[in-house]
Amino acid sequence: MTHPAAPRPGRSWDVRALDVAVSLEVEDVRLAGTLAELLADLSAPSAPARPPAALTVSVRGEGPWQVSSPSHRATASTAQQALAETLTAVNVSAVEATPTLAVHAAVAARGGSAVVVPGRSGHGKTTFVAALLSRGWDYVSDESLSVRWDDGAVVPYPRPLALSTWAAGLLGVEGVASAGEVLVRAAALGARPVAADPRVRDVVLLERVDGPPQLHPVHRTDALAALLERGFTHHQDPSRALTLVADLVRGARCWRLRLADPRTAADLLSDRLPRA
Amino acid sequence: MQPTPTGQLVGPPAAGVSEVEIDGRICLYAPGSEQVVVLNDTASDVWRLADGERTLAELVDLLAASYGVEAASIHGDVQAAVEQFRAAALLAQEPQA
Repeated sequence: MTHPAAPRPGRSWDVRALDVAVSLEVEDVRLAGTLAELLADLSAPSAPARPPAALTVSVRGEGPWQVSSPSHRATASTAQQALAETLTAVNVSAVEATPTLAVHAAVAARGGSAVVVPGRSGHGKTTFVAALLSRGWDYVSDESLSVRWDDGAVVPYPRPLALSTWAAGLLGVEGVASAGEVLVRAAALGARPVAADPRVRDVVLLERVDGPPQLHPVHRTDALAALLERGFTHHQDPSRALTLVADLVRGARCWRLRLADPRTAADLLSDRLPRA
Repeated sequence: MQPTPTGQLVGPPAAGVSEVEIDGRICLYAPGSEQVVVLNDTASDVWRLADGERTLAELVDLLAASYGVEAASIHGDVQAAVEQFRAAALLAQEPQA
């Protein structure tokens, strides 16, 4: 005699990350609720050009928590760790499966025109883009500029912004604490996820200096180098990656933004870059 | 890395090296180095001639004639360009000891 499997507590739902359909299965109801709220901007209906790849991120247990996905496995002993590991699993697995050229950059948009800020983690790009969002820009991503390999379209990736505690305090925003970071959705900054695939209009290279912010034009080749040197998936087709990024910067204005305070820098950029 | 001998053939480009031109500047990208190399005018000319069938000395003479200058006056720039290519793994052929 067989018995039907007991239904697991928790919940399952789907999100879209980097044009990849990600199924989340989370047993811990409280953790599931927090994740669903933080990832809500990835759940918005969209109309992909083609069926996306699919993968599953599962979180078993209610402490400790076992997080697993095709590209990431971890055991978390605290709820904050479980949250952080689950978001890492979503991100890493989506990067592995994405049908896009993804490079490390933060992106915001206004009037359908995007500004791209290349930079590695800890470079200040998330704080700067958060400051732009608080000044009326739409949110595209704090992690990745993602461009479809075949048609060059920009794919938004509005995952929760991961701010440092310092940055959250500076911007006066509250969010969910997670392993030393504060996670917030765009709405917490008075912004919204970008509604349609934006067109890259500006590339901004950040440089930390003391004093008031300054914006200067730079050669497009500087932007090309900055973007390609921070690739996630360029190795899939390096030649095509070069062509895609070259096409992107040919149509963009390229700048170096020297800044100390991301808020005044965001004011300057908002004033100096004309709306499309 | 030892300097490239003047009698050494230069090139050809390494397999997989990609090239684009942006605003008149040649940009090279080698998958191995994951670096974009932006060439100046002299380096662009050297790159176009680096087919593996000309020595460094021949490149210097060709470009000197093209520019209408003494070979000695551009030798350093040409050599620097070749060393730049080698450092970024852009050339298929390494000089023999």
